[in-house]
Amino acid sequence: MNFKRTLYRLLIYLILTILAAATIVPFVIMFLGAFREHTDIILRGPLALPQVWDLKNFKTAILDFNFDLYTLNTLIITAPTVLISLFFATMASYALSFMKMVFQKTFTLLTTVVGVMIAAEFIMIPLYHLLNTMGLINTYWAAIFPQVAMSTAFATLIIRSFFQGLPKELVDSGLVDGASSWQILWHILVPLAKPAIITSGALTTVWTWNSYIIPLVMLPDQNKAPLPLGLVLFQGEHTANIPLTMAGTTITALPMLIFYFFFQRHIIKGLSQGAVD
Amino acid sequence: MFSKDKEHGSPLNDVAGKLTPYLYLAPTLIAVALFLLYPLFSTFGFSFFQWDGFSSMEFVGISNYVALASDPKFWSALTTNLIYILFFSIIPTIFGLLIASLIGRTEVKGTRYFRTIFFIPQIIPSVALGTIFAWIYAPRFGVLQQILKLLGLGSLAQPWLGSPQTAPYAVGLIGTWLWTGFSVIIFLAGIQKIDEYLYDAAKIDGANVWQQFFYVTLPELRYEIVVVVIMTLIRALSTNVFGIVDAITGGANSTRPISLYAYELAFVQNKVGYAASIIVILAIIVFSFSGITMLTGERS
Repeated sequence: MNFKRTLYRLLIYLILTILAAATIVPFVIMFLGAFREHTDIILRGPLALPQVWDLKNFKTAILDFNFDLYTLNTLIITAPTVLISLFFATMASYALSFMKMVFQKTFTLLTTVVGVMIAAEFIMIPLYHLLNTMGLINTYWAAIFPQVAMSTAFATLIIRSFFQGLPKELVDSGLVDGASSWQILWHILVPLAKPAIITSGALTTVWTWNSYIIPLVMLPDQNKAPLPLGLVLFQGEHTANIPLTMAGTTITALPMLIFYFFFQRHIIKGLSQGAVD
Repeated sequence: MFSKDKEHGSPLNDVAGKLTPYLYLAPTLIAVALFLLYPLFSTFGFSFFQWDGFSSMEFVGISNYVALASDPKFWSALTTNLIYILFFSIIPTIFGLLIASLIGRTEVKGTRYFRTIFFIPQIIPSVALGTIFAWIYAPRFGVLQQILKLLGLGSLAQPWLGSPQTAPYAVGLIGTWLWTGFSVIIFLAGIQKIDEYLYDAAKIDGANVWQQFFYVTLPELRYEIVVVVIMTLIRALSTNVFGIVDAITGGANSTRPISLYAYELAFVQNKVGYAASIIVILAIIVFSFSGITMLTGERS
């Protein structure tokens, strides 16, 4: 019986380990590939280890193929998107949770669930023409504004549900102390809501960094392209050079991998939204 | 002070009286209305017009939808999406349920680490997954081809992405790889919340392992199943596949999903109204799938 149980446990670990290995292997392939040379892949096959560990391919990708520019563009788009949407969502969640207004339910639905359900491709066509009319196509704002709207809806969903769990007396005690509604939000509620705000911020950072459709449509100018778009542009022209493509892929993906290891608790929580607790 | 506040409906109306809550809500509401809701309805509106994006729009009634019904490229894209639903959503959900119930309530040390690993693909840009798997599937110097050779199965190797018979399935398998770990984690967390008592009762009634799975595990996991199915379905129909496919094949060889087809129509071929009608169909499919899944979850 005991033997059987040990065997069963071993089987479970075996399955989980195989699954974990299968998950990681493509990234190992990417990473090792980024250090190879194209002729070396032809001569020794795709599975061999790099012969020299140098950053040659990364240098080429950055210096000759604009990956420095793509990284900069990504940062220029991601940072304001995340900050603006957290700011908007915090205020909206405050109003939806602690204040009374007409159509509260409708507003809540629109700014959370409905907003979250609208995918980029549902809106890309009129959005292009709207931003074109506003004269914003090919400016960073054309990528930032739609991304802010989508991120704000998600952040409002998370932050509002956190605010809902806070006791209403917090606001009353602030009022008794003579604090204004603005002070109550930023000095009493926001410090408490830090976990929800960080979760929203982490998730929206990942999504904005990874976003592809919005920049593809709104930034036809190659010099404004963020990393995912730049990677596809590069790949379209240099498909044959595997190591260089893998170096570009690594530059695109690695920052999010590092970010993930710092914020994994928040990201996992946000991704599984209440299903895992 | 407080009696006056009651009149205003909220004690926080210090900024602009009764309008204070709307002031706090305004930035979000404007952003969502202008950049999400307006374009969503506008897509619907566009779908009744013929428009190249530059000259004046011409109202054509439902003729875009009529044209769509006999457009082989649309049906091919829809079929491709159905294959993606199978591989991105249904198979990972089933795998996840089976693996999670196999582990069941057994205490597994290091679940945390497995969870961290299983979530990694979720935070990687879809286009990066596309370029990595483009190499894995490559016909020349490809990783998979080399592995098959090493296993003595070289004869099985073929240009996976190069033919319409294999390409959509090759892309689909990326989805299975992407979502199985995720679904295991969600279901495992769900199973560990199920009351042990339910299993004991089932065992007393003489239920075998499969009966326990169908009569206890499945119904108790309905909420988690809804979460996993909706999340993966939406990815199989929109965002996820758009990036992966655009990077891996550009939509060639029957890998083009509806979203990518609509993109090409709107922004490459300048058939804006027609593209909008395709998006409307896509949105209806996504919303109704999510709706049906949510309703089934609530009823059972």
